[in-house]
Amino acid sequence: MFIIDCPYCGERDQTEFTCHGEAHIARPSNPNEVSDEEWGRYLFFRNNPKGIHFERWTHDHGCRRWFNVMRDTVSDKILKTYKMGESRPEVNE
Amino acid sequence: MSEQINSPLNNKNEIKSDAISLHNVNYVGKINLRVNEIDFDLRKKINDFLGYELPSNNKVSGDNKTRTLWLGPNEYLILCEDNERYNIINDLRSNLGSDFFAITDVSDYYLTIRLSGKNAIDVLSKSCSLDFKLNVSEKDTCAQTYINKATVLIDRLSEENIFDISVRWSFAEYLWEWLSDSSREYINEN
Repeated sequence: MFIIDCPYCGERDQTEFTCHGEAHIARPSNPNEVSDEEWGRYLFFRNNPKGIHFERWTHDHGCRRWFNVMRDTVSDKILKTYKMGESRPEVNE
Repeated sequence: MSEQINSPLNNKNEIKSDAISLHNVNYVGKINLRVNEIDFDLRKKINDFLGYELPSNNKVSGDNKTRTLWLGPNEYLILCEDNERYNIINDLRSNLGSDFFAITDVSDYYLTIRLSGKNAIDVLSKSCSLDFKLNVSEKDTCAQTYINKATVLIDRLSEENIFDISVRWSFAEYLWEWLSDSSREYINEN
């Protein structure tokens, strides 16, 4: 059990939230022109880093809003949460 | 006035004691209002209509006619007398005109259980992950969370431990039984 800081509601228990995979994946703006391979990469290919990972989460049992989470996949520590539409935070190595 | 006549809570035994009280709050008009977070003109119209400002995060505001709960950055729940709700919905619609918003009557979607007494937080803490020192810790605050398996909206009405718990109709009986069972140890003490 750990605590996630919802950008709207504040600190809540993890069980109120759901993770929805990697964040900051932009849909190609010209879907008719991209090749099948590029489209496949957009649809199915995801990063699986050991270390900093950016994810989309929802606060299902709270405000039901989507937001982004910066999480370390090694320590499971949540380093930052930020609202949808905000740019990806800098990673200090 | 007879909408909630078949409420699953109608025949439940209410609890009344110093330590803990459990009541069914019937006939509350509940209006869900969605309005864009950054549409300040429209928000001003709503504030003027309500007579007070829309509440900020996790807060509740109100007067003697309506009580408005924050559900999300663009979502609110307006509580009112049951027989006032159509007036409020119609007036709000005509005041806001053709702007971008949504009003949904959810009066029959939620039932409200009032939990109060000095052990109310002890009962809630048994199955709710909220930290009651941080969340709904003062009058006129609210939080959406879950109690055991039921998704709920908790509204704190006073510094004394008075909580209005709104729950989906189909979960109401389950939640009532859960709270009533959880309360038993505190009632036997008296």
